[in-house]
Amino acid sequence: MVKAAFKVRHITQRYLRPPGALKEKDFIGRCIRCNQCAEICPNNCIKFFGSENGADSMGTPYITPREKACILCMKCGDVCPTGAIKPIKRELEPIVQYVEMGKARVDEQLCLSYQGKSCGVCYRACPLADTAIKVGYMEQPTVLDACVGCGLCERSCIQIPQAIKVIPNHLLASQLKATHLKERRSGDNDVQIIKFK
Amino acid sequence: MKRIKIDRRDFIKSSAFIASSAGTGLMVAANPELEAAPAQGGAVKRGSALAQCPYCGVGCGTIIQTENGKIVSMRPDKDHPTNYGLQCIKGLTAAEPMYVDRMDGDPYVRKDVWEEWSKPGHGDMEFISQTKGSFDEEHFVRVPYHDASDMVARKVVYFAKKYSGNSISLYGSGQLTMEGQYLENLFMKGVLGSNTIEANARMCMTSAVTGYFATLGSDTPPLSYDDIEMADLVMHFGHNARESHPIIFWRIADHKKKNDIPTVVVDPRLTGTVKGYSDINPDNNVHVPILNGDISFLNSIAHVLLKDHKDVIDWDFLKAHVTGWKEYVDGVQADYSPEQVQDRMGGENHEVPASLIRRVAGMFADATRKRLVRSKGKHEGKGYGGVIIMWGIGYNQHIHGQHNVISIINLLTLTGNLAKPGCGPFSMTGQPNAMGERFTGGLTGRLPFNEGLNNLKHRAHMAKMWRIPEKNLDTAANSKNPGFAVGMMERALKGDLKAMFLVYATHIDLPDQYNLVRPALLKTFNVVQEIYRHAPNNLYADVIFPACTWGEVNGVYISSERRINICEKAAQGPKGCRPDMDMVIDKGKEIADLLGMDGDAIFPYKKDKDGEYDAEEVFRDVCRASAGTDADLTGILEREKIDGISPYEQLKEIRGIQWPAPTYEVAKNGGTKRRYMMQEGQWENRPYGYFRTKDGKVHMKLCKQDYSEREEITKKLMEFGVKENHYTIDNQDLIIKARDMGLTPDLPDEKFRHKAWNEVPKDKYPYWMGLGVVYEHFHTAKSNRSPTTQRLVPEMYVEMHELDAKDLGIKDGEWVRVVTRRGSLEARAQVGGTDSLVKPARNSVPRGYMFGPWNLSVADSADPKKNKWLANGISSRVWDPVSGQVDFKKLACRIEKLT
Amino acid sequence: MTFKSSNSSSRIMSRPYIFRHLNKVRWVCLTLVFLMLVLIPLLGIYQHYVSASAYRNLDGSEKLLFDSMHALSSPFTMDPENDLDALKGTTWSGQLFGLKITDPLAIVGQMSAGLEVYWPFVLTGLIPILLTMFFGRFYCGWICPATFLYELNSNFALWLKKIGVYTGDRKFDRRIKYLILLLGIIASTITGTIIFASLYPPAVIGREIYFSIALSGFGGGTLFFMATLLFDIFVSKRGFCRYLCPGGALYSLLGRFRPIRIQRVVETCNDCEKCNAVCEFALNPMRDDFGQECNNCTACIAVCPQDALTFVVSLKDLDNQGPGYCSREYRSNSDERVNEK
Repeated sequence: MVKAAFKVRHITQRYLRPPGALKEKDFIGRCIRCNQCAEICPNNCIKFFGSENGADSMGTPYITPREKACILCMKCGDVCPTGAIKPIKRELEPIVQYVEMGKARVDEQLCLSYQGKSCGVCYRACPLADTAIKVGYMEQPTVLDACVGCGLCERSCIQIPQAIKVIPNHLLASQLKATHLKERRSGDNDVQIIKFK
Repeated sequence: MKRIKIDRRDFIKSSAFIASSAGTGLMVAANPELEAAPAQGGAVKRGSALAQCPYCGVGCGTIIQTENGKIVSMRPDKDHPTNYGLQCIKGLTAAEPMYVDRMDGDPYVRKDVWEEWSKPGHGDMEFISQTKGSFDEEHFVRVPYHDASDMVARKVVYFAKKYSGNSISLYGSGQLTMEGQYLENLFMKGVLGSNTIEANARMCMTSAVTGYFATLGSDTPPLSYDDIEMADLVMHFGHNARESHPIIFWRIADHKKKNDIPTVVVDPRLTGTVKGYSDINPDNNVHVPILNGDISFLNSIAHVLLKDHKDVIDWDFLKAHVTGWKEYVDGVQADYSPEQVQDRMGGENHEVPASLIRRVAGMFADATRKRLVRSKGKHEGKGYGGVIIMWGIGYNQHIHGQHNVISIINLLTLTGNLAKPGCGPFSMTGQPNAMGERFTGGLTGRLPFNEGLNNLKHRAHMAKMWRIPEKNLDTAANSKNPGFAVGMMERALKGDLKAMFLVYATHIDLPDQYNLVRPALLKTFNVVQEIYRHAPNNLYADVIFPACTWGEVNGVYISSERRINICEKAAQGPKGCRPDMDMVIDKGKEIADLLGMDGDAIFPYKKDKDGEYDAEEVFRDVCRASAGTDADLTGILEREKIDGISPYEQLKEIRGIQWPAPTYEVAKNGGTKRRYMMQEGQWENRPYGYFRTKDGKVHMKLCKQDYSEREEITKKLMEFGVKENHYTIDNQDLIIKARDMGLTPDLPDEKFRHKAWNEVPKDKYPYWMGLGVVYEHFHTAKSNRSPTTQRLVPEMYVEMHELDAKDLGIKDGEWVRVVTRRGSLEARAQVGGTDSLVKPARNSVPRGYMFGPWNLSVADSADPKKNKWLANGISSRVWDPVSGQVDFKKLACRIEKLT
Repeated sequence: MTFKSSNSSSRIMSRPYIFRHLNKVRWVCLTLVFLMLVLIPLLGIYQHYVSASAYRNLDGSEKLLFDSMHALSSPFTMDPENDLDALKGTTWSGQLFGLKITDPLAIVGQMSAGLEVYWPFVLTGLIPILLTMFFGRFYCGWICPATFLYELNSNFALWLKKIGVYTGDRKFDRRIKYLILLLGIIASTITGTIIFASLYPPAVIGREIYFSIALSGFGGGTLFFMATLLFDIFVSKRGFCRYLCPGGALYSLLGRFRPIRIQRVVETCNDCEKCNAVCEFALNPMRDDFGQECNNCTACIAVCPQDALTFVVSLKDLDNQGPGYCSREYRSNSDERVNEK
């Protein structure tokens, strides 16, 4: 009971963990809150939780892509002493294979290119253009499987609210879990599922 | 436990380098759309108006939306036949810069000028302000409109009487309404007798203009956009359509997807256009990375066709309707085989091997064959399809631009791909109404409706239509303005020009800013009509009149397919701002009266309830005047008489009319889709036969390209802008020779490549530098004041190949200085094409070639003391002897790292 | 009465002049460490600016930071953007030129929170652990940024006392901190997060300094540390370090059998009690009671007028040697003994 209460998360915003981070539960246990990942981040995008994500997440690093997205420089993994962020080589194949921050998703109701107004800004912002995202007629974006969830697309979207969002990995996995669970255990406050259109 | 956060600015090395707005001299509002939004409660008055988008030359139809009398947003017009409800990001955000940094109230006059004028007898009439180079408030006084206008009129008259009308010039704009342009031309040539009227169209499209004149006898493309969907091959020359004309690009891409047509893109860079077509089908998309050898390339294709694809040559057509074809055929066969032209293809970084030329020729032939099949083996007769060759500004901006265009038309004529449904030449205009400038003849030596000043009969006709004494036009015809726009500035430097009007056109689009344009502007009395307070023109203005902009005036724009589109007035301009056209009429009247003519008779236009002149009246005047020309619009007036629908209403109803519209029927059906070869339909008084030339035939002309004397000629060309008192207008033989040999204005010192940046001597320039545009911006003023587009590309950048950057020792994102013989600019290095972290990274440049947009020219600051991004500080002033265009894309530069 | 000689199992090291001055060296060390905690975030910000090629976008104070950090670093590196990655972190966990060093408490905390042993991480704590086993709780005296502030705080408290403000000097049981260490481990295990990171002053200080410089925000950690400072002034001198710090508990345990320790030379001791007075951890050097808690701060060596304290190589302390031979008590005792004869 105490454990469950301790783990309650009040997710008021989607957040991403740094690239190469372990799965959420393991990450919280492994991170020693040394702040070195933010120190070394040349993009200044890593911030730290206070109490807003639960007491167990306090002091852990996170990224809000709409404010500042990750440029996949992969330095945080090099500096993390505990391996909470795994070191990953800054090359296309390792990044695509091992970085699992989340997956971008296009809201076609909001996206300008799907409304007949060619935009294509998210495609141009993507560091893995044509691998993680491609554009078609009138610059309409389609997210591909290789998307690692860095969030640069979300940051650059000129629509308000943004038409492309990164669904964080910890919500993706549990969304899959939720669809497979027939019934949910009562009192399991582990993760709140947030519905996206 | 909350953290107390203090806001900081942050710096990023990713999607957009954000320049701090404190560092810029412009004021970018947070979101003008929100500011325009009404307060809570109370009814909101909403309105809408139809217009053509104020940006590129595609001419998309939009609907301007207003709330409480302010323009707030755009919506694409789904009924418009150009874009059918599609729009690109620039047009979408066209409402944002409407109210940022606007001038309003009384005109600004330089303090020292006004003091001199206020002396008894008006002091020294030729006094020019000494405080130019700054637009700070302290240098100006605010003078009521009529007083300022009076002063301008009197000074102009003084200059006209003392030095001749030709000592006064006007630099006009392809963004002004056609009515305004018509009256400007009337004013300059008809009232002042001056031949020195130019426009920013001169820097953009006059190669196409003069190319058309030389071959077909009249200006502007013979096709319509609908022909795109009928083509079997589309070629782009010097045209990054995906960034400059997105809607047209997607129409072609759509057609390619549905019908798998082949495409060819001729461009030194691997642009998004190339990639977009390759995404659809890489097997029938060819990229030809030519730097300057387009003439040779086209001639070489003709050579291959004549040799290997004889079946597609339209011999009958040549014999019946073409002159000069024998010389052309003999010439290309003798000197332009794919092997012979290799020296002009650009060198090792611009691989255009003979096999590629043959491949493109084969594609060309196949597409022509498809058309032949449809028309049953005949070049004439029913059927459609063939080859459309599109070109953009990149192709026009050469010192042999006219020859470039003629070469395209030569090739199309040779194969019968000329102006039939689905084939022909299609020049894409840069500005929304550059076509209007060409239509109204607002250029040196031209009269409206595609005639020149040297056509005596037309001169008499226009004098009558303009209600001005014919001798004024004689004077204009006999006045010289060699060198066109560049020449205008050189004459100013020499002291031959006394006053200049700058209307809706900025001077920073002219080349060689530091040595030519800005020193010239210091010497003339400048009258500026501007909308933005911190516009660069205001730096050199003696008098500034706040003007209304697009969306605040009634008028028409003409798009690339000859479609006359209505631009309705959606909202009233800020207080004190007047429409440009109105100010031209006011001054025209005053000056005409002072010169002894009857101003009211020349400009018999009445003011409406808003106190503005009725643009529709002017439009009717234009239609009347066009009677009997090949741009005849009298059909519109007939329809008004018969159906009672006013011209503007007609334009709104059917979303534009393609000129010519000589009869009621044609006007009712939306104008003429295709010109020439009797495709205009019933036209009783058509003033020409098959083609608009005197003999009704196409005039082919073999254009040559020859690099044998390249070094020595280019060496002389590179002296302009460097040597004191050395003017191109005094060296026209040199320029003609350069054009005849198809050269570039600069030649890089290639031996000094592969060196670190600090090892290149200060007098050597190893790399090519090209200036162009970027998708997110249009020209330099509006899109940089629009928060959305400004945020997307806020900084000046220069695209560099990664191996060049490695040699130089420059890293991605570093600030560099691009130096040419004439000036320098600062930019962020964008290295590695699409891998660069400096966005927008979507094009790849070849080795030895660098590219930067000119759109950010004053985005850091318009104040010359702080402005470091002025792109035209580095360009060369050498011009094409017929078209007057300069080459912005083949400059020799050196790269220095900024520490 | 025979002259009682020192225990033959210990070797008296010669007492070089240097030992008296080690306390000054210690202060330099503490200052340097604290300075690095401030400098590293500043260099980090400078590094960000260099990465973004953003010099032209900076305003006054930011330019000042850039210029000063540039002046500092340019003699050492031509490529600050990458080379400054070599200096990162705090005493909680940091890296120096590729060598990662972590506070052993972090390792203990992480092992209990995650219930796993991640060997690369454990190895980063190897050097501190070995040094502690060799030199004892030296971290607390020579490195800990909290010590830097607490010792200044103690001096401040002395001044307050001089001007009449009440200061506290209550004594509690030193063993409380071992309990806190144990509870912290258990709590980490239960909750799955490292509790120590929020309650261990050097971690808190390192983080708060970093936040205030790089992220412009103070947090609860500062309040917590302020509370301990007040506790030290008004309730118990060096109370946190003596009675509550779990890190101190851990190092004491590790340093129990340290070979390098301080020992009293009873022959020259005169029982002046200056060493007891100056000892921040309320140990009893005058009666040879150093124990596992001594952090080799050498304050006692520095203050002793008789040079009666020195470093020895020994695995345990001597038993209480009684009054110093130069002391009045001893002399009067020996006089008695002499008189007894």
